[in-house]
Amino acid sequence: MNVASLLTGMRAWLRRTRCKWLLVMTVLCLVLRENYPFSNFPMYSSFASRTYYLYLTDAKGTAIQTTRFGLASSTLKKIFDRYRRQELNRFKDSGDGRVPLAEASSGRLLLRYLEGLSAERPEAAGLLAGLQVQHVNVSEQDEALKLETRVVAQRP
Amino acid sequence: MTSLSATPRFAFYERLVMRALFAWVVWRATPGALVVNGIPSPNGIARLVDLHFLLDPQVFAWARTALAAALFLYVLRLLVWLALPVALFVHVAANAITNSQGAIQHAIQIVSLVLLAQTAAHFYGLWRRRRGEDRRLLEDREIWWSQQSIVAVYLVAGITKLLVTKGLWIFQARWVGVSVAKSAYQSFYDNFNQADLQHQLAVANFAAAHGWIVALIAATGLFLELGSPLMLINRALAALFACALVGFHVSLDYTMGLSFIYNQWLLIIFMINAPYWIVTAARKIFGPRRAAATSP
Repeated sequence: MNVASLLTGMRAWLRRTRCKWLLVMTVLCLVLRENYPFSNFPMYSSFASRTYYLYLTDAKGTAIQTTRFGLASSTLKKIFDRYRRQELNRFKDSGDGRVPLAEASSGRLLLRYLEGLSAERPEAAGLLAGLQVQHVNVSEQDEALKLETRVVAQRP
Repeated sequence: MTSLSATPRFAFYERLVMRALFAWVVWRATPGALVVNGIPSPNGIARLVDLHFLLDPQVFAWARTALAAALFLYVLRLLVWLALPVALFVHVAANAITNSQGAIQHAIQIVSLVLLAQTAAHFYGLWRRRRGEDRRLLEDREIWWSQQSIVAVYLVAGITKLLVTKGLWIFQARWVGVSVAKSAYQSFYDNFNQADLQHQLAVANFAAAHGWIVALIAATGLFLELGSPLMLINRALAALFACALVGFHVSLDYTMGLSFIYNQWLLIIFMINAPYWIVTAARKIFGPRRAAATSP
């Protein structure tokens, strides 16, 4: 079968099919990717043996509900991820120190973002003093889960 | 919904129930207020249109009122040519802003895409009507395109898994325990619910210790996503497949705290379509008896 007959066959099938809108939506979502309202739905599209999450604490290390700032912990991580990508680019010539530098800087940017949010949430403004961003690595070793926590940024 | 006609047909009561429930879903899936820190990372429509005007609480309150009015008209099937674009703009713009904070969520897109499908189907239908198409097909096509949009969401999610992992998604799924633990702690720091955390950590530990069982369950999920176009064959397959997908969502909610509640609602409204099955069953049970009673 040559290309021309294949294309003719496809064209005929496209004319016949009842599901043209399905094709349109599928192609648009795959091509436009993350452009609201379109998406290629990449959540849980890959798994790794390690990941991380973030949470907030006060100066003494006592956990604070992320939702008190008007956002979910998953959103907190995604915002940090965006800063991290940006900062990794900025510190690309920093050799071994690249990742810690980028993460510390992303943590500070995240705290600044939370400060901005608290301008509209008076109850969150009271939580800012000494606010810490805790970074927890989650990994799987020998069929068991392992957690490692460290502070990536802290407000004075 | 027959498999022979190009656009399946739906009875008046089906269309009415679908409209009322979908309007409720759109209302619920539109933020009540925009508590955001500007539009730092514009996404989608926010890249094309400057949506900063919606950050003014008074303007947003007006937009919500316009949405309520549009959805009311939509349910009554009045001025649909105006109601659908207004509802689409307010709903998509508000959610584009919440998705422009540097973090993209995936819970609402399905609602936006169905609303987009209905708007596109409506205007396409108006154009077809000018060329002599039966006016009754207008709303049937809106539902049919809604169903195709729902299927597209699942199909795209399945294809993306295969593309990202070069076909190895099922094998990677043995590490799902790590993701479950991450989700569990993230949920915990949202609500401090210790019982939920313990429950989800038990699942995460089980997954870590029994990776290949988890991979098998994940394969079922991938099959449901890639097989979702089967829902477009007929009503029975739509209902059966949708029940399986809702079951899968419920199990993910139980194990990982991922409810995707709007996916579930749209499957219930447009695919399971309980009113049709209730009326059909009632006709089967009571129809012959009534016929016998009225016969001479």
